[in-house]
Amino acid sequence: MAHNKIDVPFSTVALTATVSKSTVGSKAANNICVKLTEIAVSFDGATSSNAPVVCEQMQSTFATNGPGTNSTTVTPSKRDTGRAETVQSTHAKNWTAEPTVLTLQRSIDIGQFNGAMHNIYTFDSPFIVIGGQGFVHRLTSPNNVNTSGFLTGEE
Amino acid sequence: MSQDLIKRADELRSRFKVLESVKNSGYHDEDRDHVRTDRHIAPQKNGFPPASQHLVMFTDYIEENVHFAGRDAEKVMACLKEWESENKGLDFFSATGTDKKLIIRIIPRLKVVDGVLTIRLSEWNDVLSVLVAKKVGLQGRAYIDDGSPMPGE
Repeated sequence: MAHNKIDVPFSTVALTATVSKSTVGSKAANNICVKLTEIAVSFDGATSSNAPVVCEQMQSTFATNGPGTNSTTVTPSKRDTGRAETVQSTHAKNWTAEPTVLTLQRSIDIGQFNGAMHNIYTFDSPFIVIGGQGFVHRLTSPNNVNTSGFLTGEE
Repeated sequence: MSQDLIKRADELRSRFKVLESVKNSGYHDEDRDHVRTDRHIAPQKNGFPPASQHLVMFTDYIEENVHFAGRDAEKVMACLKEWESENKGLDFFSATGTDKKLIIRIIPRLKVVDGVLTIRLSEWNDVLSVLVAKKVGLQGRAYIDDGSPMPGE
């Protein structure tokens, strides 16, 4: 199997003020890495003076709270729906208890009023999710706000 | 194995039963989105059963399997069989690879053994697509208890 491209969408996940939340994440199967190629996030904040949301791209071992535990499982959408290969990695959104162990890889502030980010990794530098381990996108907002977005990856 | 999984699944559902009686837990009938207050957030207000009635999957990342036990296993099988019968007349020329694989390979091979339904993780996302389409409602725990907190703890 190769080049099985997938999207993992999440819609209107509620962020509570000052509480860090992993909004979307993926865990690779034991012997297959996942190349993350895109991440997008947007917010529905209505107050322009609110401080931005801290968006963190984290590696996760998923020692606890793997996808599906204290989170909502997501069916990844295959780009090529004609293919019979099953996506091997597991995905979830809206963690109610944070997964462990998290290691920060990248961080960026995004405004919650009309704020949006679409991070397209360069072709030669995808975010590699190691086999058996994972990735989460963790957000911390100073105010209550909702977020929607997606991950795009490839097995 | 089955009795232990059934017990753990029931404990999780009992925990959700408690949360459904607590306002602002995210599972109460009246809980709403903080920002878009027109939106209810509890599963039972969004087309799913209450979390206390969800099926509980146990994911084994070492052996790469997903298990359902007891009544959950029977419900998943019934759900898959129902989906299969609804899609009997599927046009294989235009069907998705996932649908074809479910009908030809995955569903015919699945069966409940000693009260446990085991689905290979390598086929799980296909089965999950049916369970999501059928809106059964799913919660999960690690197959070998990894110390993840119970919801709301």
